[in-house]
Amino acid sequence: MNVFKLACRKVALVKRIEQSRSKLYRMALAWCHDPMLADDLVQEALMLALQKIHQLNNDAAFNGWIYTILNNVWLGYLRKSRPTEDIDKIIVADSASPEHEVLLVQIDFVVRSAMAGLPNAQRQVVSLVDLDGLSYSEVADILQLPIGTVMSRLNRARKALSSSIIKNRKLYQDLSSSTDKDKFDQKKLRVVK
Amino acid sequence: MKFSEDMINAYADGELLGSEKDDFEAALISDADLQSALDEVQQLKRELRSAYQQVEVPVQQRESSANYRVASYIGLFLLAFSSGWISGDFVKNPNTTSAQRGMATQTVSADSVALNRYILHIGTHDDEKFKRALDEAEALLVKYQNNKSLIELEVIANAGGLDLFRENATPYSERVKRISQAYPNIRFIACSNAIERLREQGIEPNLINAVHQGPTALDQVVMRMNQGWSYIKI
Repeated sequence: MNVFKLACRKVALVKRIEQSRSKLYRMALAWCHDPMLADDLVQEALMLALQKIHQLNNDAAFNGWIYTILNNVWLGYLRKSRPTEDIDKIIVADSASPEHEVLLVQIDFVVRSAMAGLPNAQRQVVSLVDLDGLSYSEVADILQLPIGTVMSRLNRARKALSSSIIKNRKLYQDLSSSTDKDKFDQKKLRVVK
Repeated sequence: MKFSEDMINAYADGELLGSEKDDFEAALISDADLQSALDEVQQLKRELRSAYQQVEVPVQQRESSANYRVASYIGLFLLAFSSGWISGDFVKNPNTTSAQRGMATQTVSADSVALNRYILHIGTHDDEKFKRALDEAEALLVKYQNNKSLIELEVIANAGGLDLFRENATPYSERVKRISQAYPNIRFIACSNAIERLREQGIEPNLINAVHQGPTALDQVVMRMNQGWSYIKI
């Protein structure tokens, strides 16, 4: 056994795990839409990755391996926190509020809000494909699904997202064209606070 | 437009290959509806990526600097031998301690210069695990002390595991204090994130005196692993 190479590989893997934090955080946020929870999920996933580092035999499989860990942590959280619900159907959207409406003027929030309104099964697929550019087969491995199911969920997710984004953009246009600017500004102030 | 929505998605995602891809691209030239449908998918992909790229990732506390990292990598190989880290020997049987399994005694030189470093991590509230963490810590300390070997040990707690170090939540307050007094080479560390979470809920952590507040558990474990410490998850 080449001990030098083995030790080097472990150093590189620990570093790679540590460097995955940002992209895992974005993925976790896309799944749960709660910054604090996303941070907790990522911490737990990274801890598990460090603990299981010896199980990764093929460095090329790193992405799939670490997202699988994150997915397991996320599903574990859902099972524990919402034991009576069908995990695939869980949506995480906040209820509408004046602040919510004003935030919709920001395109990024429009998109994230649309994502939050998707069922979990669709949200996970579309985020893995579009946020990190994973292939359908990688997503199928991570989520333990047939590729056909990945494709159909992706299609449903994109249709729902497009529809939701169009609806929210219309809301933005209505707000922008409103003559009641004071009311609009007041709402904005409430968000800034 | 003869292509299904799945095919349009697949093309946009780089999943079409060979003749399917050629056929699709040939159709794009003359089929305005197909081009429009593809544009929509590509636009959505761009917007999604952009929406999450702007997200602010929580700032991590860093002890490390470039110099520290270089030094830690150089030191790794000496430490790796003495710590047993390169053996990949992680906790497998929760009912036995690392010391009992003889986890890390591959010394490269005399015992007097060997330095064995472990970080024990506990992340859940479980009285049985609390006991096991302290058993594990004491067993390692006793083992290396008897061998006249040097040992450095950290026990880090986060999430529900933080309760091990909270005066009002742990059944092991006196034991933690006793171990801390008996062995100068052990440090009990509380994860800063876990402390912050409690305070956000209006709960004062009330840590045992012997416990230090560290960075996040993740940062501490990564830093120690980079320095060649062995990581033991309880």
